[in-house]
Amino acid sequence: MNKTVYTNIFGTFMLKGDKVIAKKLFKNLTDRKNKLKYEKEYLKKSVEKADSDFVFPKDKTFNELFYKFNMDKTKKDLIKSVRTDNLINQAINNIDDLNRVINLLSKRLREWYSLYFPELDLKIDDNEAYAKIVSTKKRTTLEKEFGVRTIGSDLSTEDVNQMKSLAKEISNLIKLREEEKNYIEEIMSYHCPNLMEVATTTIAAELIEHAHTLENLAEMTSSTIQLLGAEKALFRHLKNKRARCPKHGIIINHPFVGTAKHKDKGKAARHLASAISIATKVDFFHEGTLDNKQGKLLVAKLKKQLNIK
Amino acid sequence: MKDLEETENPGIFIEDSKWGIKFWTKNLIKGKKVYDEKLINDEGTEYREWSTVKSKIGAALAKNICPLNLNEGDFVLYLGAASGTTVSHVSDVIGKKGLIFGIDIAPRVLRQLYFLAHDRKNIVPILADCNKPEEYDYRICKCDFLVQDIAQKAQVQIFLKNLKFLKTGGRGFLAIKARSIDVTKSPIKIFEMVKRQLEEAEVNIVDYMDLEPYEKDHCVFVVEK
Repeated sequence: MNKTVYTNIFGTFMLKGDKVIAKKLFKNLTDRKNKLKYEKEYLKKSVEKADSDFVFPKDKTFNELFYKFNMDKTKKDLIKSVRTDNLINQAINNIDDLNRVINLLSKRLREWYSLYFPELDLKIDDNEAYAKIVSTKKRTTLEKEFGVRTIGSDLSTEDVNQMKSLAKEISNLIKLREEEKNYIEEIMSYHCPNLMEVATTTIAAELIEHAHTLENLAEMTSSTIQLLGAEKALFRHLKNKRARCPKHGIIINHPFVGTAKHKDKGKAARHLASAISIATKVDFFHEGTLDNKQGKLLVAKLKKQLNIK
Repeated sequence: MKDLEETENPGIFIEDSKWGIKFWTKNLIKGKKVYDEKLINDEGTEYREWSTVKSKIGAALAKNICPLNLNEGDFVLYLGAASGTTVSHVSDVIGKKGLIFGIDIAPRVLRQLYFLAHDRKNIVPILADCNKPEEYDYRICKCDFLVQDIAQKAQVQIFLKNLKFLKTGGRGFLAIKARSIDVTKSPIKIFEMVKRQLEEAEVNIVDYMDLEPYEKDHCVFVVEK
């Protein structure tokens, strides 16, 4: 029976049939780069390398080594696996959640404070301003400011303080959202400046979130980018031709598409998607330092194509 | 006490009650749950319920599939291991002498498998792309049983690529999600296409079936090398 040499993650083995007759176990993961040296040692004495049909013998110590070495390697891989894309995804999802929470709490605050001073709800539309006024100003000053006598009932300071603390929390959440937006802008300005220039920060982040990574987005065609986020409508169209094909997905929120006339929306979306596609490819496949020069050129070209001043 | 009977698959137990059929495996780590499954105690041995809704092998067992040829002490290669729902049951069956290589591409779910592998020393988590076997072939060895549960367009090609890790006479379990291959075609046509592809690659198909009502538009194949 021929002797063979075989190397895996934890050692180099000389085998006869399916029995190990000599082995050299690696000390750690990096020891594997010396495998050629170990293999050569064995190859001098014996015959050939193991073919693909070779079956590794079952042994308790080998099982443990398989476990130990692979766990170490997986641990290293997992540590390396977190990328800037993951951070962008989490941050944009967080902004989305914050928006939802702020709206929910603001609605509650308006209902609640209206028991005490209902006139404010009608005067102030903006949630941020509303929360700020509630948390800082007293009812008597507000009455003077707006020149009204309130129809709200008189509540004790304890009751009003509860409303004020809720308003303070809302203000804090709004501040947090702003911080998060700045943070996204900052990491994206070095991760994908051209994409950000063409697509605006929020849409660029949403596109990356939808494609999971910048790499995936760079590999997409511009027609796919155009319809990202409109999957439901697209598949409805593919399954049933009577349903019309969607023209735009996430990029509908972009000012170039949003402000276009109804009949030009498809055209705008198409041009924008193609510009985004180019910008993403520049960002991902660039060499050397990265700046947003290409993005500015693309925006200028887009404006010309879409007749935007 | 419940009446548990061993099925034709060693290590997998069946309970036929008026509530329906349930499958159980002996718990390798006593008292620990992996997902939100049920635990029961039968004369000192603890059993874990094998969900037929969450696990495709579980669903296939409930549909009375042919014997899987999965024994204690086997080496198993699991492609698309995810967070370890099915992997934990296979790890129960093969016991402490066996070894299961769980491969997945997503770090998010492999993190959970890594923590599971801390408790169960027979699970080996590997972060790799199943489409590129040459990247992980040195980390594993030839296996007695091959499972693939990957929802991708190239599901069949990935399975055929990884078939080289299966020992002669070993069985492979392939779960196909029709919606991942093509949403516009009818699932039945896709299953026929997959069957043809497997036959062209000269794979011996032992059994195949769809997974209704446990999974929608899913089909499983059991092949032998």
